[in-house]
Amino acid sequence: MMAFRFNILADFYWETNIDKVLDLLSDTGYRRFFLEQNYGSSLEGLTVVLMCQDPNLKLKQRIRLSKKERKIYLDIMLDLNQFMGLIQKEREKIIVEKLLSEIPPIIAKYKLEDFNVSKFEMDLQSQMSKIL
Amino acid sequence: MLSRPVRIADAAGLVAAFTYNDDYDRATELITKGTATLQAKTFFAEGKYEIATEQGQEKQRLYLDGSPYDASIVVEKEGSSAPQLYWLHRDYLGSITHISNNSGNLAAEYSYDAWGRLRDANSWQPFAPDAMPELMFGRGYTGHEHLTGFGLIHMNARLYDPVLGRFLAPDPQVADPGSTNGFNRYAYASNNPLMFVDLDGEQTVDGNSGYNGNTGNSAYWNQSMASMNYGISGSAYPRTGNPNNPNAGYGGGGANFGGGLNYGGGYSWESGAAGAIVSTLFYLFSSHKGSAQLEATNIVLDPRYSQYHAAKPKPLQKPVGTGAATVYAGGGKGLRMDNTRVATAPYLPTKELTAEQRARRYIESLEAPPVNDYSAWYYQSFFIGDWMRAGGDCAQGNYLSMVNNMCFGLLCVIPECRVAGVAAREVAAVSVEQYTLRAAEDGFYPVMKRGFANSQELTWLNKGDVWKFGTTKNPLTRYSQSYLDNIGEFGVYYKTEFTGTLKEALTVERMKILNFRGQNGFLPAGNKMVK
Repeated sequence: MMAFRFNILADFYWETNIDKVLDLLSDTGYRRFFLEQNYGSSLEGLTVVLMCQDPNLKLKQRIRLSKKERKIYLDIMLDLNQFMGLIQKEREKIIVEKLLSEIPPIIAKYKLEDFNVSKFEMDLQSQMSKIL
Repeated sequence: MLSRPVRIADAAGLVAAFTYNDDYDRATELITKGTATLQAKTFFAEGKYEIATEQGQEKQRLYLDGSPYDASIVVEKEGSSAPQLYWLHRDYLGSITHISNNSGNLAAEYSYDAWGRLRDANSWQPFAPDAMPELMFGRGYTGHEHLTGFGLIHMNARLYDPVLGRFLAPDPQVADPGSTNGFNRYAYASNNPLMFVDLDGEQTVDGNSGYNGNTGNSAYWNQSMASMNYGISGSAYPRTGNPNNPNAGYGGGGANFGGGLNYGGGYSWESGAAGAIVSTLFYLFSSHKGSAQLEATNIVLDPRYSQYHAAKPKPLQKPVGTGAATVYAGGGKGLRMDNTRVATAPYLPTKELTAEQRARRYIESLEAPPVNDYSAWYYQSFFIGDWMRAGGDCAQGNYLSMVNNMCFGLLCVIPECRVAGVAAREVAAVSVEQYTLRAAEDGFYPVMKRGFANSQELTWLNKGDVWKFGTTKNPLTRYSQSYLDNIGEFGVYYKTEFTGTLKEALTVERMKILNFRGQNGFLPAGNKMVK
């Protein structure tokens, strides 16, 4: 049985408290949940990095499919200035919304064979919305 | 070494503004009230030289034989008038308690309570915080600058309130995690101001090492304790002697100048001739004159300089070693102030000498260094201070003329140089991040070892535990996604915990690694060493 490794990491300034959001997500047990799922053999993993940086740095969103690893790496770009001024609940909401809205289209764009995008999208929604 | 106070304002409209250079030393200080400028100061060479504009009059001050925290001689030049020499007399903590002029007369007397609050020198009644008198050179308690209008003392990194006995800002680090006092980050000198001083507002140091860091011998502590009697309990000198009669006052004070006695002896390099030097020093204080050198029309240099000057020239040989430890094969042990080594010192072409050696050479020949030889200028002022403390002529006009030409000569050159240098370095000071890689999930993570590129073992980390502390000069060249993802079972996330200059970031990183090791007994798994 194929396991799907789904990992959410971040690159952020400490005052944005994104590690607290990561902890909340982690507490939902989403990693274990996705490890038990099978969406097809063409994709074995997905790593998302929450890039919370100053937009003035003009960092580009990195999206990469590693055929060797059969894994997708992608950035979710967050605005550092915006996050510095938000309350924690708003940060959680924005991150979950971005995860739900940006990940499925990116995966779908690769037109991977035998990868069940719709099932993944449903599972993603059910797991991520646990913290809202 | 992180933030610095930049502005103080009181309800009456008195405002003080400070700027700092990239070494975090104070660069400028401006005190205003409304639109009127009460005082403006510019500091150079770590405060050793300052230009102060007070009530429209410009004053230049040069601390000759050390920093403002330990120097005993200061030359002040007001406007275009001739420079005046003053002697600073300090207690064992380095607080300036008396200032005498070049005639041996008392120019000012100060007294402080244990926590640094200014008090009347005669009655020992503390002044009200808003009624403190201006200090002659602005400096007093432990050599720090008093902001008398605010009742505060500027200790560089932080402002200190001597009435409260507390800093106004917390220490950026817990100096001593092994002491409960260390966790009171507002405390001054570990709440022990009679034993310790805080020279920079960030680190408490032993009182005697703070006073004169370059002595470092136990005799000095004896002197310090002797001076404690002088400074703290206020033994006879200030009251029994007549400060206006130097022969009676300072002569009588000589006995109390246990500080003075060991003052000279405290210098390890003078140990061989301490007696003579001390005698000279006493003679200076008691009669305003130095040794027999005083009678000379021209400046007669200390014999040690002359010995060096007379050292037989030796051919330059190939240097062995690098940097300060460079020695010249067959040429002796390098240049030092004690006689034996001077006698064997090689006589090198000027261009081969260090700045210190060049400065000494110029003093011998009574020449001013080239205007662009800033290093030689810098050392030269120290040597003049050393020379005076060793009994050099302080009454001759020639001396002050030399100081004027040599020391204040550099003042014409150095400010522009320093300011330009500071500006250039400030521009060049890129933002550096101190980051932490932390475990994204509970799991096993690799342990990195020095000498190995790959991990040698695994360790268990809980979610959020530190895997590595690091710094990066270019935050834009960040870790790749796969690198972050593939460390350990579930990867690590990159958390920027501090942003500042390189010096700051490295210090914060080092502090965190050391704290981690202190708490856990081992380094973070991803750190191979303490930088």
